[in-house]
Amino acid sequence: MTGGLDAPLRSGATGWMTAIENADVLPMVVADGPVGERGIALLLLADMAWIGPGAHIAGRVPRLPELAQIRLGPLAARRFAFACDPLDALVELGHCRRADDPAKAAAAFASSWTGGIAGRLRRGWRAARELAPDEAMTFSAWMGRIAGEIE
Amino acid sequence: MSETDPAAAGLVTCEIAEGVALLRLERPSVRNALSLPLLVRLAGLMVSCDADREVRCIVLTGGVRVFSAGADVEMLSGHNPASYMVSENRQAFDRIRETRKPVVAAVAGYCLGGGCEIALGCDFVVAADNAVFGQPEINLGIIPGAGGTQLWAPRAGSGVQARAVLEGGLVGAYEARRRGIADCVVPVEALIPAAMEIAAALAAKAPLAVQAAKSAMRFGWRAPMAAALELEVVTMAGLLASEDAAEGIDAFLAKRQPSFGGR
Repeated sequence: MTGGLDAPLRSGATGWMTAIENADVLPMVVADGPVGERGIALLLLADMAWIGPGAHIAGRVPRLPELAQIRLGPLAARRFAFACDPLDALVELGHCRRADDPAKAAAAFASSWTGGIAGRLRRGWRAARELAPDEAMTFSAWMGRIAGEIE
Repeated sequence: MSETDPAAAGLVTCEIAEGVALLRLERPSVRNALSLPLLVRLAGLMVSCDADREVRCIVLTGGVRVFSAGADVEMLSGHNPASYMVSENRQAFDRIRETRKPVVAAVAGYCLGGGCEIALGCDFVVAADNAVFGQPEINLGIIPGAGGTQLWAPRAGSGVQARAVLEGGLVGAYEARRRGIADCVVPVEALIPAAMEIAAALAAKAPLAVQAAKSAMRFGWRAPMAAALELEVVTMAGLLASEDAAEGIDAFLAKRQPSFGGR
């Protein structure tokens, strides 16, 4: 990827968005400065996100209704869509945190999530997203059995 | 090529326990690529399992890293039209697919080309969450020649079939589940236990009925609906005379678990 967080989403964005969505590692995003469609997309895709004091919406307000609903759920996606400032909305929804030094905050959080637990969480979330509920529960049960055997 | 070639024995291993045969492809250095010795060995083991009364269900896997990256490309080169039709590798694919006992494919990692054709020729496909299916043959200027132009459609429809064969792209485990290519998705660490659990459940059913049901379903692959329905009736009539059927009905009426002897 090249360009800043204020870049527009182009057709090729599907590739990196899917890659982030399906990654086995925790995606964490730090946003500071001008934020546009790409920045909002990255914030929505993040498992944890921090917004710095300089972050502000640049240009047309991005709503991204499809991605917002996928990531936030239908009710929160509506609150996000109707908010005057999407960055404020993401903070109010609990999805993003404000920090004076967002990169430092992100690094501190990331250092506490090393090891296999992050991958375990990501795989479970993906199974829940992709499978029918009963099959996702079966997936979860197998995960639990494996963890028990390893312990 | 002999099916009992000692050098080929390690290419596919077989463990039998409690009615289930676990067949494992063992060429990890080349992602379980399907060489001629491996195919012949696998076909031979499938035939042996079919003949072994102790075996009621088969699990076929490549382990938790890769199912099979496909046929050794060198196996395809050097053929002319006549030699390919009667080649051992082509016949081996047929024999694997024609196994009469139920087969559960336990698929992790790449399941491509001939590997995918073998998996889709099985009755159940258990996919690990890292499984990737595909028929990339079109990118080599050939087509899937061991069932790949036919086996996707019954599971997923003609559109998915066409995309798989004409585009040669890859299908991940979850998309495979949505399309019907995979029957379930499990954590890769649980792949073999999950497949064995399904196999154990199948092994506990009446063997004659299971094989007859599979035979009737497979008949539909090569016969018009009317003929397949007729065969189903004939098969059912034959099964009614079996000891298993009598035991199954008795057990149901007596509210107890049946014990099937395969007679």
